[in-house]
Amino acid sequence: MRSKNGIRGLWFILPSLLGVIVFIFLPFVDVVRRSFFGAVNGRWAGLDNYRSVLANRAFLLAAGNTARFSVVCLPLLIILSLFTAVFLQRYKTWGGWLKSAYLVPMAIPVASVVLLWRALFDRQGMLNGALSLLRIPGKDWMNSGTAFGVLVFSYIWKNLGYDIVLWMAGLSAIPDSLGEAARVDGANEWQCFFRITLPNLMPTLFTITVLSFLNSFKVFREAYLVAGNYPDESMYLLQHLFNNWFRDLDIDKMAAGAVLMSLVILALILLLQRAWGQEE
Amino acid sequence: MKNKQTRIGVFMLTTALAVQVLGGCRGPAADTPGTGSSHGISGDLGAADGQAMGAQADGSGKEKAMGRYLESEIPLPEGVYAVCGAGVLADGSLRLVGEDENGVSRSLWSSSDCGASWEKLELPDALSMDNAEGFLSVSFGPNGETAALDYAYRPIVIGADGSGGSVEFSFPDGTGSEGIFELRYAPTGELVGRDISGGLHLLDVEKKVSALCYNESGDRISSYSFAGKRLFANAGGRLQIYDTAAGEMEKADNVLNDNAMLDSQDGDGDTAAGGDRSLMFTAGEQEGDVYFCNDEGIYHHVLGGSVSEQIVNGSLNSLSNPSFSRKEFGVLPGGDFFIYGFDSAESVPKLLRYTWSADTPAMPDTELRMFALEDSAGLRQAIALYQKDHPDVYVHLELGLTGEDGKTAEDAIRALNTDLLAGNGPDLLVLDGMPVDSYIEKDMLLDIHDVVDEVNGSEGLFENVARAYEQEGAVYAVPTRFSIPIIQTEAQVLETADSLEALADTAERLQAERGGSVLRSADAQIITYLLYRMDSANWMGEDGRIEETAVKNFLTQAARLYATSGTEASYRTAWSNYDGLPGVKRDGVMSMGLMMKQGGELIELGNLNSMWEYMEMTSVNHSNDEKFPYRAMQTGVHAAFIPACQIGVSSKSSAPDKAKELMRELIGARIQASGEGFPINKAAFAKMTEENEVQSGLSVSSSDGEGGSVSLKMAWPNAKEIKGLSEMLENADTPALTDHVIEEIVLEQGAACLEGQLSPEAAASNIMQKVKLYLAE
Repeated sequence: MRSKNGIRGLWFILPSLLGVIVFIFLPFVDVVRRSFFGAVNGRWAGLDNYRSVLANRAFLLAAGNTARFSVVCLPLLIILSLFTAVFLQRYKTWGGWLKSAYLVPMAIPVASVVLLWRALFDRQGMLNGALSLLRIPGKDWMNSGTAFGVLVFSYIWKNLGYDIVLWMAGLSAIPDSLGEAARVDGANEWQCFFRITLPNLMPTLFTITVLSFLNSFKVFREAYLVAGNYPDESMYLLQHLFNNWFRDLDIDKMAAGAVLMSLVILALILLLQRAWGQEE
Repeated sequence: MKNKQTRIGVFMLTTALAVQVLGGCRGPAADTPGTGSSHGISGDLGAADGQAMGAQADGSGKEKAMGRYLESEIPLPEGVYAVCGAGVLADGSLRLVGEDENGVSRSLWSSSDCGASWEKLELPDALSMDNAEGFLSVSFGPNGETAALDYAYRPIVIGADGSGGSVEFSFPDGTGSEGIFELRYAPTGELVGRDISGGLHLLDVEKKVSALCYNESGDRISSYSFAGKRLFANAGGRLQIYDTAAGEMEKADNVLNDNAMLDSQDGDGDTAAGGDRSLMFTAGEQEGDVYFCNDEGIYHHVLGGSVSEQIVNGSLNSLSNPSFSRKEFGVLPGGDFFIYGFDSAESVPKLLRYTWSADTPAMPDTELRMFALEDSAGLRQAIALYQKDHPDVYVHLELGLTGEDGKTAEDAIRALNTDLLAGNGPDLLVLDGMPVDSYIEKDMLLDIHDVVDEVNGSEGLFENVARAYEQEGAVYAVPTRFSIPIIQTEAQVLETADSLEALADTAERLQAERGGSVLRSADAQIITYLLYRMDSANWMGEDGRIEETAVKNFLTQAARLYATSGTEASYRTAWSNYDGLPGVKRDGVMSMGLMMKQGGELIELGNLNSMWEYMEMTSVNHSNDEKFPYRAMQTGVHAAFIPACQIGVSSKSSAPDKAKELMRELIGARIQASGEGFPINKAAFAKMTEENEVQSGLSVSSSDGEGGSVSLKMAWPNAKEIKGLSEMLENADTPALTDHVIEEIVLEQGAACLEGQLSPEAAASNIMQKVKLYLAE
């Protein structure tokens, strides 16, 4: 009976599965194939493209920056959004309003965000203008190490609201009675949070982590529109590199780089899934 | 049973969805024409009335459409070198007024066999050299009447019997008193003139009076043309049709308006007297039938109809040549078309005939696709010249940036790369603004050393330029034109200016001594660009990498030089892109002569692009008692040149031999002899340096900004100066960095440095960081 239901379910996912196969899986197979051949001449290259990519300074820099960005941003975003969500849930009077306010950055079009960035962080922008009023020397924010900080700030600012909503959905699924029972037994707020709330939020944590990780790739749009193909080294991401490789017809390197990147992402997701499975 | 039916239903729905999804991935239909006609114009190469388009099976068994109008040149009458006017009379004969090679005698000719032979007629006295120095335009009436407008805008009207002369018309309407600017005979015999304000006048020769006509809308008319009893007027980009018999405006034909008026004709700029009449009409056989001719070809249109049928594809002949300006259009007996025009590139008048050939395929068998990021008159001209001699090949110029969308150069390059990878790439690539080195590295470009060697052997090439992309004996791309950085200033300044640093020292000293601006006024980006082109050839170290010290020195000196240029914002010209050849931006030495003559800038730096500019420099020097010598500006060990219109053949070309053949023509003497920038072909250069009497006799003048004006008499460079130019071009040994990515980075950071937002050290550091990243990729 269960097996019959499983087959019936397969029929429902078949259309989208076909779409994934045609538009994602098969092109990816082609990318894997191309990673072993020359870009234009189509000659067999073996692992040369991979060796070339792994020895490429730009790739190493971009991969390092991308990893650094994920390592810095993900915990920061997850922790900030979690505490904000808990805070908003506690203060229900203002919570609704504040939740909407946190979602506003998501509604702002990228083009407007880019204008805002430029107006703020340009050499002659508003931030330097404000600093000069305080007699603090300004900086070339987008052409120095601070560019990475700007990128992190932008990502957190844009995605905080979305993660808050996800956390709040998770929080609302935890029965109030659990907390009340613990308090009756003498648990304080921190104990309630770490012993009851957090363990119950683990399934939500997996979803939020994966979504935040995937959303972190979207920050490239802002970075590209503000600083172009060659931003400061500190905010040079893998997407910059792939974008430039495609312009220069370096399809072989791009394919090898994409395969390596996919393997890393796949490994990370599997790791998270495994960790989540163990928690369950 | 019910479950089974449901499953079948789900399966069918899924299959239908999958088929629909996959159907979207299908390639372009096999019958898609290579060149899509636009705006509701029917098939590209339809047959004209009465000309049946046939079909023939080719070798592969496929049927191909046969029949096409072919262009040929009607020879001018013997001894005629210049044409004052030519046209078709009502009886189908051709009439022409011409001048001899030296411009000392004028003659009138007639041909009753479509130009196969010419009969000399007696030239009316009023049209002779003694009575009219030259004509702005000459128009013929249906029976051989002649209406001419001389250089003084004086109308001369000669009847069919040869009587008549200069006529002074009165303008009782009060308009047009400034005079007639354009004069044309209608096929019905009416004489219509256009005044400088764009008003049309019906001219009564007997009564010598004019009357405003065809001005129902009150709009300014910028050009007009007749087709039978109808007049077609371009009124501010809208086509107005008048019935000349009734004198009334007809209902607007929107289809005709949309198809005939091209973007270039939409403006309300006047057609200069005797100038290009880009849109012209002539009548067909039936009432309401008209033919019109524009840059895209010759079309047939039935007034009120829903389509305009293209019967001559302009991209296959001279009609698309931007240097060919059309002046008259008509139909010859037998249905052939006649166009008289002037080719400014070759400086010759041309009488063209378009004859139907039933045996020629409607579209040439071979199509060569050429990709360029930006449009270029020089390139189109070269293609048109090639096309004319090779009716079996269709060269299709594809543009990456049309200006009609928000596409950037990078978007266009990515789209091109997608095509290249999919095997649908072009046969030839104009590589300006593209990643040339990357294409060479990826084996994207074919080795064309055989073509270069062949042309070099027969006609001679400036080899340093032609072999700029040579690697181990293989030539992958050829800059077909080039320019060199140049400096013109006082002799003692010129002697010291052997580096940017020395030049900046001198400029600062001159400013301290004499005050005012030393370099021309331009914004920071232009100055950066100008100096970058001069200096970047010397940035490469022995290891082939860009040296940071060279970049820092460049920025330091550029900032010092910028400080000596005109600083008033109102004098700083806006950054503007090139207006000619791809890659040649507006940084020429044009007008430098006038500026110096006015006592303005003391040092002129620029890019020497043409003989005209060189003549300007030599003329300035002569007219100032040789006080302003000039030389190629060399800022380091290398003498730089700026390559332009760099062309390579795609290794994926489906017709590599034909593509190489076109490449050979593009660097051959005939095509190289005209265009912006200096040719790489030495034979073409030699032709270019032959004295141009029209140009050398000119005077150019300019306002001095204080209400006065200065003028400069142009004189063709003498043999010594031509030799000097030749040596400068020959000595140029290293191309300036033309990599668009590096250029963009340097311009952005350099401009900020010149404007004082960044120190030279900080700007150099930014440049090096970004360039290293780019090169590391």
